[in-house]
Amino acid sequence: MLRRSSLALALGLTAVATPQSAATPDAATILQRSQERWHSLSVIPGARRD
Amino acid sequence: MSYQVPVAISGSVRAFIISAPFKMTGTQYYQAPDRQALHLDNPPSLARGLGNRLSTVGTPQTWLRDYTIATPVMQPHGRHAAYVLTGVPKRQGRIKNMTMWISATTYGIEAINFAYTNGATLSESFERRHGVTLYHLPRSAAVVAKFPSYSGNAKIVYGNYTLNQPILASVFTQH
Repeated sequence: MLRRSSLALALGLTAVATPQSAATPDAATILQRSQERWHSLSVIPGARRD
Repeated sequence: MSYQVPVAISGSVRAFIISAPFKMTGTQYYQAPDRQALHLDNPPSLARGLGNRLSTVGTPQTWLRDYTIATPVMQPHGRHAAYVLTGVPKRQGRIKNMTMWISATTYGIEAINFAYTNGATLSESFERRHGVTLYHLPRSAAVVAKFPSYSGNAKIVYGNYTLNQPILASVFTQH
């Protein structure tokens, strides 16, 4: 029973996690943000952090 | 925005039956939005081809311009999640496709793989200094190349970046 409960919990967590992956930005947005990060070198060191 | 950074590249190259270690130094240049160059000071002849390949990797902006990119997927990559993007060149050339892994948290580029029409592959994995995340450009990179005429492994170590200083236009012309 304990194992079944664990499995159900795991499946429940998976179900909760699924909508996050559905929120993956499109390619243009990802590359634009990546380029902005690249350009963020030009800001004063310390002004922007990960 | 621009930068220039000294690089030290070391590794080994195998061409036909000859395998040899190499070391070379140079300077990498970048000028927004899409100009880049890698000038090597003392490339051994065996490693020259690898150096030339590394100078034409591109940037996120050029990838968006030059490739048709499929819908990204998020996958585990190392200790965290990365967006995996695959692209096919808009203009036919030597590159068949490319795959890139971009951090889902920092949007830093973690790895790039190029597959060529002749079956060759070039992969580059970028590393950033732990604890110093102000800079999103790499501190080092690992390269694995497999081409018909040669194969090799290399580590690129980036020195101190010089930011936003004028760069002569001639730096970016073929030489």
